[in-house]
Amino acid sequence: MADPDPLEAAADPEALGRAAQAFVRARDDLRPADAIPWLLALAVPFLLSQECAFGTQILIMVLFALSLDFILGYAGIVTLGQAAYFGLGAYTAGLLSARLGWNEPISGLLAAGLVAAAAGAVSGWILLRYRHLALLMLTIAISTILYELANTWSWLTGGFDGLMGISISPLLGVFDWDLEGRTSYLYALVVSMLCFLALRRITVSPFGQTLHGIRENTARMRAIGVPVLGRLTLAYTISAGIAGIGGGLLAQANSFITMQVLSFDTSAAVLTMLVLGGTGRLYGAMVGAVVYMLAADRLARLSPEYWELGVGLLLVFVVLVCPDGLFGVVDRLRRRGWRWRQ
Amino acid sequence: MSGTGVPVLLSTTGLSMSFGPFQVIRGVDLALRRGCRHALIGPNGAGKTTLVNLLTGVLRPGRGTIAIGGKDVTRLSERERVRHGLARTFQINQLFRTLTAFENVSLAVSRRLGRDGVLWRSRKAERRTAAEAMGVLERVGLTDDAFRPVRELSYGSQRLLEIALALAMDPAILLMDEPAAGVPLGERDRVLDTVDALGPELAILIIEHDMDLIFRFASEITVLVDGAVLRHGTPDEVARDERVRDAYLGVARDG
Repeated sequence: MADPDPLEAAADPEALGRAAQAFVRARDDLRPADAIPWLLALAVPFLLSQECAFGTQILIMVLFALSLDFILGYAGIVTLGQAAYFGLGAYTAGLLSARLGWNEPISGLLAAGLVAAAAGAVSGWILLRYRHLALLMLTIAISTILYELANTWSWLTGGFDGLMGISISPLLGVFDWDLEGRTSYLYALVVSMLCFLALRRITVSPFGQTLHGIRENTARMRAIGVPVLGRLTLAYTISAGIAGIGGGLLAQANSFITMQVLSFDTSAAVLTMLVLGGTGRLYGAMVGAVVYMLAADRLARLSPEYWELGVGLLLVFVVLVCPDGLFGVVDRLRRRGWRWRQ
Repeated sequence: MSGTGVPVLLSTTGLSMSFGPFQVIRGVDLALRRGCRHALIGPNGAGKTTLVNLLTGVLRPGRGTIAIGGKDVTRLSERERVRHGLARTFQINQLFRTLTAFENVSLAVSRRLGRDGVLWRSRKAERRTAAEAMGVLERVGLTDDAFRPVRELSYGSQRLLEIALALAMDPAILLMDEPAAGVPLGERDRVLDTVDALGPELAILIIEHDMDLIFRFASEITVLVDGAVLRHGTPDEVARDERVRDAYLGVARDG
């Protein structure tokens, strides 16, 4: 990491510009360490091949949590309705296959992302005029409306019984879906990595900085002439699209979805994951989703009835001991190391 | 000062506004010419900040018009007025507190360059934004603090950053709401010198309570009392006006 040293820069404009660029690059450029989580994830089908099915579920939740972090951690949009877009994506991919016989996975996934993004654009443009509690309530309202629609149109969605009959053709026409779930896992891994890279690119773009600014001080952003509603709507649209791709993956990987994907519980769970891992740094979403899924799985084996109590205690512990989330601890250590080297 | 040949950049005619039954601005006429150093003074509650909010478009007037460069902007949004060259600073700091001074200014620069909605990085654009942001920080003497988060800066430096954010928009008209408010004595000169050194072509409207600053800085003064213009003139004329003394200067001296 190149450490910008303002004192060295003196008053020479060239040197000042270089110091500023060094600062930007230290802040935004990818580091070798950024590859670590993906290398670990890539090792799973080779070292823990019996865990591929569970690993796929984790990757899907990582992707879903990333979509939430992008709006909550970067733009400061508080939402308890992210399941609306996750569920829309899941039903889009699911219905394409189960009702229309469209079984090609990649186009199904793109359709899931596009439908969810379109819904995000329209709903965002309306509800992002509000903030705080009003916004929170509106996000809950939108996901509840979709949930009830899925229930009302049970002839289409399968209602409480769930949507059955989803099947997908071999990936790229070549790779068959094996019983171990290795293909599914690698498919989910590639999709979530591509989405992560896209999100990361956006977070370090000028637009990403604009979102920081809006989160920190909306009044000032207005005063420097930024069209706040438009910028927030774009962020919300991107986030909804990513959530929709996550939902589409779920439908394709499990060949089955229930109305649970649209439920308040799902929105609350993904928010819990993000708070566990820490907001505003993407890696928090990864760590949080992995920890949540592992904890839920282990605890549910211990006690199928009371596992949520365990997750709740974990959440309380994290919020009290490391309010920046689990990944916040890593961040703090890294910053301390940086200071020390200076 | 306000030679008639110098173009008027910002003007209001008969500007009025009410909050419910309370008329807070009453028929204000104001003209800011290029290069002017115009002070807006008046007792607390006279409507100074409300007037600034009307000028920037945060609030809408009940009656009257606002023009920038001769163009009627009364119905235009805050954002469109910024595009017409209007920038402001706030009485209470409105900064991005977790970001560094450099990042604060970069946000404004990238907006001015039309890049605040761009979804990808470009080395070339990044270099330009960085260079311009550092240039602005240099103008207010904050390059040493460039890479420190706002919350670690001294209050005086924060006030200077408040000005820097407005300057980063490269405005033709600058509205400053009490730039030196609350700045401790040891840092005052830094702030005042920066205000003094602002570009001579800028039209500046400054709200201030500090009479030393006003008489050092202003070439004309408008006195606002109960939302109406009580007096407009040169500092000497205003200082000699007995009504002004009664309404404001005397009060300030006693209190």
